[in-house]
Amino acid sequence: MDNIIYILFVSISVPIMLMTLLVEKKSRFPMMFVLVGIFVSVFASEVNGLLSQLLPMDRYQITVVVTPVSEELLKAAPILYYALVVSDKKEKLFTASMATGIGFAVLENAFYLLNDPGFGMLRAVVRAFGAGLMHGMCTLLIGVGISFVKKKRKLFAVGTFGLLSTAIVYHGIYNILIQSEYSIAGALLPIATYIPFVVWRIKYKKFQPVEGKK
Amino acid sequence: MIYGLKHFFKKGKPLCLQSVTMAMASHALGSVYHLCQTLTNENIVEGFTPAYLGRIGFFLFILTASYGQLDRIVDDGSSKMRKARILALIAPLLAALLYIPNAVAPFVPISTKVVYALVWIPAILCVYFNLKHAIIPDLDFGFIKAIKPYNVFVLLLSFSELLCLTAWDYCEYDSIPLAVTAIVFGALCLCTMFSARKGVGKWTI
Repeated sequence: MDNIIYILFVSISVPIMLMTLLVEKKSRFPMMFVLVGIFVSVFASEVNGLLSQLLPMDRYQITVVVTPVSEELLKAAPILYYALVVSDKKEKLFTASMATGIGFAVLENAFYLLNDPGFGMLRAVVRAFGAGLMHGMCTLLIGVGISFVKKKRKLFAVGTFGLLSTAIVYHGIYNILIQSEYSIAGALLPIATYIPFVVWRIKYKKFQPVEGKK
Repeated sequence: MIYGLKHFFKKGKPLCLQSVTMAMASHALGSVYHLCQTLTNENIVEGFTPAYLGRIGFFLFILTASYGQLDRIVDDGSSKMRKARILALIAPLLAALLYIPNAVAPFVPISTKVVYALVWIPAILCVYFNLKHAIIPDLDFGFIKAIKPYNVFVLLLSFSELLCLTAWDYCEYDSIPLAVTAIVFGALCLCTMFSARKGVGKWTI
């Protein structure tokens, strides 16, 4: 039997890819990064599989120590590339990073839910608001942060590494909590971070000068 | 951290204030990770854990603020500042000395020693810039003088963090020294945030 993650990858990414060619340019941009996220997810599953074979750790240790590092590094790679090579505009990076994180989560969630014996609506909701949002928030932190630190060359390397560390630790905390008796705290952590961020974003946008007006 | 998020993430606020807040956030997350791991599972990994990345991130963000932003304002590269630059080398030397108890302790595993070395590298760079900015002569309009208290507090914060890491192994994670260091560290964090806001605020008057 073929690996289920590749079956999911083809069945999710191909329709999105085909649609990307037809939609207008503005919508194409986030969709492309959702696709990037899905691809990164497949790649991360292979890397994690390899690392779990190489490192003398049990499954729990792998999920709280190794996967946060590998997944955050892989998710940050396309954002870093985009910021360095294409554009470091805040709005673009904001969209690209969130879309990459969500794309990553789409495939990961589908994979976990299919492999979960207790597969059900409650589990799906918890994963959607938990892991789904967590991946989005971690990549968003890197994307938004890069738009700040990219302003000065001296800040970029050090700042990016600092942002990566923060995202990795956040991911690690989520993985610890979700597997523990405090799993409800783990499930609520991403939404508890998401809501203040949305409030800040709305406030920030409100005070931004409108283009064309003085 | 909450103080920083409330006051420093506003339009027009200098980036160094946001870096300092991110440093606090990174450290807080690292501590939360450690706390969660201790509370939820006895199966704690020896050596590297993402909790240490919180500490590395803390020093990197402080370094971003000190080297990336403040240094170009504070140090114009002139010979008048040479004395301060040389004297500031005391701080990295002291920080390096603090690593020795970890390096020589037979009960500290090699993996932990390597991780500590990764924390110490940005810390050594960080304390150099902070001491330099704390002792450098103020030649212009009082800009440097305004941020001196901030630099002193960051210096204390950095050294207390390094001492904490060393003490952890020597006190065998005893709860009383850990609680004392946590309270001292928290108080220093607050002082750092207040002095950063006050110091940088004077630039804009």
